[in-house]
Amino acid sequence: MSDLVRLAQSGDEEAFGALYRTHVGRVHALCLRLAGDAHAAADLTQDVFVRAWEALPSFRGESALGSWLHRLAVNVFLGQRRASGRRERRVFGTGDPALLERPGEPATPGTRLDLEQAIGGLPTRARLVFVLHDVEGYQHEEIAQMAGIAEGTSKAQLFRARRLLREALER
Amino acid sequence: MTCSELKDRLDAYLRDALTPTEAAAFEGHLSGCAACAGLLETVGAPVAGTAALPRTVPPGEDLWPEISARLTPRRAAIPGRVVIPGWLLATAAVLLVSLSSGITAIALRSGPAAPAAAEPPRLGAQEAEFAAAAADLSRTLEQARGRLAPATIATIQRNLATIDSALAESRRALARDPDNSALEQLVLTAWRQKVDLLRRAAALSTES
Repeated sequence: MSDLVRLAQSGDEEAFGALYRTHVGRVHALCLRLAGDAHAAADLTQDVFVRAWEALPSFRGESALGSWLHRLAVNVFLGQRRASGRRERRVFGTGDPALLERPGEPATPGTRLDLEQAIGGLPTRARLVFVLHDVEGYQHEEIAQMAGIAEGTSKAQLFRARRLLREALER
Repeated sequence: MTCSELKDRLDAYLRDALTPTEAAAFEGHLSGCAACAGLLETVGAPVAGTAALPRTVPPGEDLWPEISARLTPRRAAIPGRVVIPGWLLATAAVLLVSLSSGITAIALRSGPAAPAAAEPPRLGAQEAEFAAAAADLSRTLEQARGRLAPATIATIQRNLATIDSALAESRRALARDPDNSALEQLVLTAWRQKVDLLRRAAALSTES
């Protein structure tokens, strides 16, 4: 465990600030893809680091801090989804309400979306599984455990996500 | 193998996690089922470009100021309440050891103790001054009690009880041996410690 982690665990905010600067890009990338929206991603990233500060004393260094933050980000995201029970915005980098009404479909047929936009346009569950499995490398068993879904559901959502992405990118 | 079984094993097949027998059954079904072969082609491989997605995406703005403002100081239990300082936690142990050791040492040097006197020794002028100062500080502390955390109050009370106990023991020893100047000094030391503790505790409550 690094000295910075130990200092942050003991309450040193400057040390925690240094850890934030080291890991924020990685955490934000994940939050951006999970949330599917730049503003929601910024809020989620903040929540993850605040939660990390609270939970850091329990971090025992059994995994790398980056991995620990990563899983924490997923848990915070899933916890917020469960708590709010609200529909998430599914648009990545666009304010077009048409995408909210027809997730997974481009606003204008024939428009070629880039992959990030296409991921942001996926339905929430498919996006969650796709990001965790194909982008972040989690196994279905882990995803099922974290998300509280059956392993088969995780697989089905992944296949659905890939199919939707291919369709979106071919347009 | 049925189409449904193939779908169940699709992910394992793509990860090379099937046994040779299962893989053979899987591929056997694929060779005779155009729908499943199409499915594999569509969903089997990750979407092109996925592996090249950036793993790091900095936020558009610096989030640290807002995060920093939301961090609860690790050691502040209740906002507006005073945290127990280290000196306060250490006081009782130090006093208990020093005063008890002092009494024991003096008693050993003085030989067998005389029978206990029925009345406590007369308070000298110095003791009276310490007692008055302690009373004043106790009133100040009592008035500011609401500003101290319950845990801090409990610690102060424990330390005061320790000092009072040491003071009483010193005075009993002095009562048994009234001409012992070392025991007299020990009583005054206990008073000094008590007033010092009360003064620091009172300052703690008014600073918060």
